[in-house]
Amino acid sequence: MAKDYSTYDVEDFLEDESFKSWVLTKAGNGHWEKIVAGHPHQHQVISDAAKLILDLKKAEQTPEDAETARLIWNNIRKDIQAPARVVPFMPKVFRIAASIAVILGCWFGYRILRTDGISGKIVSQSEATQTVEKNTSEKVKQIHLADGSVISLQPNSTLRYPKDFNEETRTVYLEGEAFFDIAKNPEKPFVVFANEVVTKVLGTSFNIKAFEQDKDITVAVKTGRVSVLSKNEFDQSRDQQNQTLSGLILTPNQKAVYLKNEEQLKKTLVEQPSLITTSTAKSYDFNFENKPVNEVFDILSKAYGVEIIYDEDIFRSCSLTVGLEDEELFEKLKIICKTINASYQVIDTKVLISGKGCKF
Amino acid sequence: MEPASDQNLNLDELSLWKAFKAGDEVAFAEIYRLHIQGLLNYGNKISPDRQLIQDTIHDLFIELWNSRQRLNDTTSVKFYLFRALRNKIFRAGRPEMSSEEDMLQLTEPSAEFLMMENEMESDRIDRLRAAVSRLSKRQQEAINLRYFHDFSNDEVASMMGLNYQSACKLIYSGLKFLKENIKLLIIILLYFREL
Repeated sequence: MAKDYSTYDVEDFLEDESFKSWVLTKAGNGHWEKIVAGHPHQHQVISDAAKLILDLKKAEQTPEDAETARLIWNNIRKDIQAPARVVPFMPKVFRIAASIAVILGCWFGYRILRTDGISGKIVSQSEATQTVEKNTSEKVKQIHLADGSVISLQPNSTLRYPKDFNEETRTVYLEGEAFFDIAKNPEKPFVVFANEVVTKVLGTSFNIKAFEQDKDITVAVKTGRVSVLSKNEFDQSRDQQNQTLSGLILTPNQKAVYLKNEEQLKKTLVEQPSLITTSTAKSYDFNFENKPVNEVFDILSKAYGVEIIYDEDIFRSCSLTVGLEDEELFEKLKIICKTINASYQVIDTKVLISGKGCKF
Repeated sequence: MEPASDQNLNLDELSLWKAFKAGDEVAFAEIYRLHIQGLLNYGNKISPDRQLIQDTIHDLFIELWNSRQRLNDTTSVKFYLFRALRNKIFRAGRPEMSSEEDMLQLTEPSAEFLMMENEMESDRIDRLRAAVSRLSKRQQEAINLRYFHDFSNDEVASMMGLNYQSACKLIYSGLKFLKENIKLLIIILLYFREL
C-alpha cells in the first residue's frame, strides 16, 4: 500500500515503524532515501522526526557495563552443569548474503574483551568437543581441518573449532589473523566468527584480519565471490520482508574494510593484487612489443580482475614495448604510465588512468 | 553465482541458536555476549534494583542452558531474551502495574520546573531524558523498547502483555508528551533570549 508521505507530519513519521528502523540503523535498501529525495518540501518535518528519534536513542543510552557483564558471566559459567569455560568473545552477529558471503559487524559487547583482558586466557574445558589452536610462535601455523580446508594461522592468533562439525555448518572462531582456503561444500557453509566480523562462504579463499586492538577489520578475497554487509544493513534488510541485499560484493583482489569508529564498510583493492587463477584461466603474456596501450590495459584488467578506466580515444595513439613479467600490478601500472606520460589513481576498486595521449 | 537468497537471512542467528541448543558452549557464550548490554539497559529501565537485574539475568541464562534441548527454534533470540527477563523480573519483585496507571493524565509541567530545567541542563538530550523520566513507567518501558532496542509495535505489545492498540497508544501518548514538552522548552528558551 503506497503511503502519501507528502502529508505526513512529525508524528506520522515517528509512528512509522520502517522510518524508525531506518533512522536507528541508518541503513536499508534505499527506500527511505528515495522518499526523502522525492519530498523536498517535507525535509524539515523528516529531519525533526529523525532528530527526535536519535535524541531519544541517546537519552536512553546507558554506558556499557563490561564489568557487570563479566561478573554475571563468570557466575553463570560456575553454575551451569557442564561449565562452558569459554569467554564470550564474539560481538553482534552479522548478516550474510548468499551463496558466498561475508558479514561485517559492529562492536556490541566488544569491550568486554578489550577491557578485562581475559581474551588471551580463554581456556576450554570442553577439550573433548573443541580444539583450540593458539599460535604463539613467530611463524605461520598451518591447520588442516577434517573437511579438507587449510587455515594458515598468523602469530598471536587463535583458532577454535569443534572436533566434529555439526550437520548444518562448519563453524570456526578466530581471534587475530588467518588465511582461509576452504574446501567447497555447498551443503555446508563455512562460517568464521572473528571479533566483529562474521564471514560465510561455501568454498573460496580469503584473509581475515581482526585483531582487537586494530581500528579496522579487513576481509580480502583471493578466489571466489564474497559479499559483505554491515550490521546496520543487515538488520534493516532482516526487518523488511523483501530482502534485496545491499552491501558490497567482493571479487578476487578486492577487500572490505570495516572501520570500527565510523561503523562503515568500504571496498577497495588489496595492496598487492595477484593474478587471478581459475581452472579456465589462460596465462597472460606480459611481454609487450609495440602493443597498443588499450590492449595492454585490457590484458591487465582481465589478468587481475580489476577494472581499468581510461579514455580509449585519447590513448589510441599510444603503444608499448616493455617486459613486465615480474612486477606486481601497481608497479606495472607505474611503468606503463611513465612510458605514455599518464598517471593512475585507485578509486574504490577501480583504476583510473588519466593523461594527454601520445600525439606529438 | 549471485548472492542473496532470502532464506539465508536469519541463518546466522538461527544457526547460532541451533548450535547452542545442540550444546555448543561457544554459541552460548556468543548469545550472552550479543545481548548482555541490551539486557542490562532494559533491566535498568524496568527495575531500579541492580542486584535483582544481575541475579535475574544470571538465572535466565542458567535456565536457558539447562532447558536448551526443549526450546523452540525461535527466530528472534533478542525478543525471547527480553521477554524472559521481563517476566522474571516482574515475578521476582516489582508488581505488575495496573493498566489504570497508563490512563493517568500526565500533569502539565509547571513553568517553574521547566525554567529550572533549562538553567541546570542546557543540553537537549538531558532535557529529553528529564522529560522521559516524567512519563509513566510503562510509557518509559515501551519507548525504550521501541526507540532504543528497535522492537516493533507487535513485539512491544507481546512483550508487555498488551494488545496491539494499547501498545501503540502507550507509545504515542508518551511520544506526544515528549514532543510537546520539548517544544514548550524551546519556546521558553526563545522567550528568555529575547528579553
